[in-house]
Amino acid sequence: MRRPLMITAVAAVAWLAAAATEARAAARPQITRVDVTTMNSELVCTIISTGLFTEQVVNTVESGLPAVVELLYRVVDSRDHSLRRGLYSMEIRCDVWNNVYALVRDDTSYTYASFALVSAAVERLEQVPVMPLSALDDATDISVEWAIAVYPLRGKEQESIVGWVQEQVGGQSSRTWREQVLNIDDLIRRLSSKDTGRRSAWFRSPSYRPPVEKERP
Amino acid sequence: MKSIRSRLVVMCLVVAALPAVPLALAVQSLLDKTFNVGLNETMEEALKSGVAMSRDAWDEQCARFAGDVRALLVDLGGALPDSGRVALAMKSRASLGSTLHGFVLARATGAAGDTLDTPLLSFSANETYQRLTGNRSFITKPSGTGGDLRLFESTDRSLLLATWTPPAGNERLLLFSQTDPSFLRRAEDLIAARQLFATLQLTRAGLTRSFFYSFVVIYGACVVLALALSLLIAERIATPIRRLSAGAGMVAAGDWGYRLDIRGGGETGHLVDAFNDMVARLDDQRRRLVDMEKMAAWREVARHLAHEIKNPLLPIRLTIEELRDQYRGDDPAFRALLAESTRVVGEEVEQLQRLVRQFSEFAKMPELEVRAGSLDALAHDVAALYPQVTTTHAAADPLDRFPFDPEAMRRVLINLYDNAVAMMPAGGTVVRTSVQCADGQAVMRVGDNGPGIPPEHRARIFEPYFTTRREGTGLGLAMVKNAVLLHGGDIAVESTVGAGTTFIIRLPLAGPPPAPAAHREA
Repeated sequence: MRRPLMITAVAAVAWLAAAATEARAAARPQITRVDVTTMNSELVCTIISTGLFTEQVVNTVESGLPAVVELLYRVVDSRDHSLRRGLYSMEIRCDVWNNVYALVRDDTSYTYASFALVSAAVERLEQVPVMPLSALDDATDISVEWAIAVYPLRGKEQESIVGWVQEQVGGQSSRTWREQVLNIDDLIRRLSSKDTGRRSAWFRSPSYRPPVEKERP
Repeated sequence: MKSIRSRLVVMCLVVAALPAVPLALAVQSLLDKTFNVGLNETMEEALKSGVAMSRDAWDEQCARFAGDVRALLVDLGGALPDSGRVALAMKSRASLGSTLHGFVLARATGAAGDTLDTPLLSFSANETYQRLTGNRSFITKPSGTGGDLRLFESTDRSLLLATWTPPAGNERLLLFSQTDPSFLRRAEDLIAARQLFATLQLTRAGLTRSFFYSFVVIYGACVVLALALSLLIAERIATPIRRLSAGAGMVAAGDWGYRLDIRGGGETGHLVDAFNDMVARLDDQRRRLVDMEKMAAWREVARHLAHEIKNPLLPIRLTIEELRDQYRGDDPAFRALLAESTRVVGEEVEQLQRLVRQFSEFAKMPELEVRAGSLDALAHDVAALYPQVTTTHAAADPLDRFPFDPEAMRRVLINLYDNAVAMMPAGGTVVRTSVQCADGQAVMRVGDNGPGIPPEHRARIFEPYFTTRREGTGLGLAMVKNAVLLHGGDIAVESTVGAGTTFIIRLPLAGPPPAPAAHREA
């Protein structure tokens, strides 16, 4: 009787682990489609994604804190050789006083009346520049892999919150005690400084052959 | 797992780790509750409402400013008035609670007409105008107002600005409204609080995890410390026990000289001391038993010899006397020879009978008749027979009710004194110390300043029939040792050749032990 019981227990644990992994994956942002095309002698992509903004992220943005959306890409050829890697970054801000949202992309600020509109704009990003066609070899099939990540707290905002926590935790004890015996603050800083962001899995675009650029005079 | 060390370590680990689960649950629950105190929906709604109210208040202020500006322009009739009219109109509106706090009338210059020259006229706006021409940035306030009336707000919202350009001319009227700084500060505080709230909500899981990990790390460190301490303690407990066990094995294998050399206090120290003491006592008893068995064997030999020699002695004596008496011859020489031979044989027989008596006495060794008395007094009485004996430390006897056999101890002392006197034919001094108590024993020393005992003889002097004197039987010191052993004591000898010899008698204060049945029978 013991062996079937053990097998059942192992199976149950495996199922729970798989379910947890699946649940975590479901909670992550996802890129559902990537179209590659060319525009003005440049390789550009249209990226469609879902699940970028959780309720907590929306709350954070609505409170006036900026959120950063990062797109990581790598261009690979048919033999899976990496041709280029890059990062495309955007920032979402909310003007709390006027209740308007701004998407800062390529040094240009686009204003939106609601977060839903910003979200829609980010979830369908068009003409994201990747690389100039001149940098590509002729007659090569390429694919572009994309991953998208949303960081509601970056840089000084994160430092600020960690500092606040540090103040709350360490405020009561003497500095000497903290430094000499056990620096819990530092421990918390290290643990909580882990990125609060969420990143999607890599999504590979269909294979694409860029048009051969005509020789310039 | 059977070793005491493993058990101790496992026990310590279990004790240290057992509270981990309930503590972890308690910490988790405490953290959740702590966060729930501040991070709940009510608080979130309150903060959102506060920010919304601030925004509404600001919008209302902007709307009032725009309304006041329009009303003023209506008052002015839509044409650039002289400054006196503007001031008058503003004063009249101020009495109605107007939001207009000042104006500047200036000439617009530049290609686009967006640069203001020195003000032609201003009212309560000098400071504002300075700020306006400083690095202050303005953003267009969406007011729905187009044409020549435009509304702006400073990026820090401390100032609302309206510009009106009349249809003709290049002058421009700027109207200002100062925002209440306390309103701005409170609103900014609200916004900051909401941002902190949102951030905490976002990082709540991470923070909880961080605190929890901190707890786990600290607890883990404590468990590791407990493990190290338990290992140390277990080692300190197990080592003496292991060595004790090994020592017991060595003793069982016959190494009676084995002693534990472990320094430690408390129970371990007591245990080690008790073990060493036990082995020492066992060794002592074993040696005594061996000595007694040897002595019993020697006594058996003595008894047998006495029996074998004693029986023919009387017939020999009678026969030789009969031979002497029955001679009827006339030869005087032969008669004389016979008489001399009879005398010599008689003397030798008598010598043998004396020897037999000594053998018999040694063989008999009657059971002790123990009585309580003063050993010191007995020694004093015996010493009185020997002028060579002097006593030192003649203090009051601490053992006047000491249990011993007076007759046996008298023989012991006589033998020792005899032996000492015999060893000093040219004279000397015998020194006896009074009886003293030490380590639960009565101790008495008898020493002389004779020639001493050579080292090669010291080990054998208590053996029966061992003597270095021609006339000695070798039974005196053997009888001494036998008597002392029967008392449960011991006798030792210290001797320096040319300086003298000292015998040390140690008797148990509790008195002689009960004689074993075998010995009684013997």
